[in-house]
Amino acid sequence: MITQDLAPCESTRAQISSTVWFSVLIPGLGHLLQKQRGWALFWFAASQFLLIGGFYLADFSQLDYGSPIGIGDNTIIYFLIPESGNFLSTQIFARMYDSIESGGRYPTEIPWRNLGYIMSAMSGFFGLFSAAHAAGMLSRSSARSSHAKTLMNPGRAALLNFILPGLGHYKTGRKFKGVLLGSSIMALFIVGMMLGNWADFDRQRHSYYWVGQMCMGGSGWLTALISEPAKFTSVMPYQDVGLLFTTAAGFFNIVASLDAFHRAEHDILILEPSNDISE
Amino acid sequence: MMGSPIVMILLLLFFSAVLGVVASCYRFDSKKEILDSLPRRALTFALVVAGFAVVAYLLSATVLMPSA
Repeated sequence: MITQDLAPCESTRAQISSTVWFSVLIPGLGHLLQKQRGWALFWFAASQFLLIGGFYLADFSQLDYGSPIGIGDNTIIYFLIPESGNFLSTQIFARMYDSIESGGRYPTEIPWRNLGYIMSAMSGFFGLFSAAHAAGMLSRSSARSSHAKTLMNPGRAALLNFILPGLGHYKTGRKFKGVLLGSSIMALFIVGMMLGNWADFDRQRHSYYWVGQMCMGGSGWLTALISEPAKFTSVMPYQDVGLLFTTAAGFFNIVASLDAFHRAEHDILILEPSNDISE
Repeated sequence: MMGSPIVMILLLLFFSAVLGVVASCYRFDSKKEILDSLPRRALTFALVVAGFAVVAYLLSATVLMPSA
């Protein structure tokens, strides 16, 4: 079955586009524009709580891993991933506070910094998935079929998949695909962690790979918390392979989440009378 | 520290299998289509990476060898 040709109508696509931009700017704003006040409050409060809590626990040492981008001495954007998924708040905090290294301290002096890193990163991902959720709500509400309105929000399918690989597919009725994707991605991540002796999930060691590892979502965040006390005692023969595996598993999870969104949206679009391709 | 070549090949095959699963699942939605296309995608990736490894090894042993 050809699925690539199915897409929401032009006006819905324009609405989705603006909703996504507003949601990334301030999580919840896209929902507010759709008059979904409950969801708007939830996404806004969750994202800001995680960002502020994360910055507080890590004493703003996240800013050591970002860099200002601008012209001359004028900073236009503070590039910090994944926190910038909650864009405006990250930009405000980056201008209000300095990293502790600027003050001559060392991040390892902060006892809760890893929890802080995970929380602030979650905030960035929440910002991005609030955009997916708001876009999915629009797709569903603009459907003319009454049955389509009862189907799962594509953004919710993507978020479920992000929290646990394969769950989004499983919940939309693709049980084989969900189990196959979930077990494969989880196996890659776990083998990678084992090759690195469970000690290679550390923002300070390799901040860019850490962003990829954080893309594992809920299972990755939990692993990062549990494995925090693990430290390297020697050089492992396959630790670089382990780092590659865990990072790739994170990126595969993003691909799977995008697919979960796309398939759930397809389930809605296929019911539209103008998209009847059964003949 | 250099690992065993056999283990490296096994790790490559494992990674290729997962990559094949993700690529096939992204392309297709039905169980049959996914399972049919999976081996070809996984093997293609493994062979291409192994080919690059052979080329890199030959270059390192000949023209890129410091003593050459």
